[in-house]
Amino acid sequence: METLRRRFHVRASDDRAGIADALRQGDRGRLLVLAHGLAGIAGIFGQGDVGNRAAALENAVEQGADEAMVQTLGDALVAALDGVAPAG
Amino acid sequence: MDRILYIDDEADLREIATISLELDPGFEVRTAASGSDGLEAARQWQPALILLDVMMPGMDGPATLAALAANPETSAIPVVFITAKTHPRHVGDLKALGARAVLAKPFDPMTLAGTVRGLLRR
Repeated sequence: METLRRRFHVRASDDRAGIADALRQGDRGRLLVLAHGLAGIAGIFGQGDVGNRAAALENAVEQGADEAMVQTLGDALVAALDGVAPAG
Repeated sequence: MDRILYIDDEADLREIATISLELDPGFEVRTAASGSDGLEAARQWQPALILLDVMMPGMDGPATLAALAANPETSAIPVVFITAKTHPRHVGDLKALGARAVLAKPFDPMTLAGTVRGLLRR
């Protein structure tokens, strides 16, 4: 599990960059995929806040929320991912 | 040994689920990365229970369950959905499709095997 935890931290960093890029590009399909993945796994590694914010973004994108809402939730998720400690 | 098939497009979750389920020494675990791969694995391997992710690219969980139910070789295998969407209405919709149960995702790696063992006894 420790190996998987380290891998999650690397993934979180990659996903943070991907989400920030998808927000800039307005790429909702990519946002949905990245948010869905994080929503399903972050809690396993004690990152419940990341998981909750990812789920909120996923729901917003699925429901066709306006750009401002998606941006706000995306920014919140990026901020939460900033708080994920790098792999030790 | 009870065979458990875990179907999920997320590679990390497949690995975590395998580790978690194998905490029960009576479980033999295989995984599949898509609904279509899962169908084939179920047909060939005949698991005692299938854990099935709901949202997957291509054939999603509900479509996979429908295909399993339509095939006499797999129709008797109990299926348990795993989903991050645990609103009661969503859970009710999934159970109505014929799932034995719906588990929340993310799951607790320390209790997943016990939960699945309980579902097998139903």
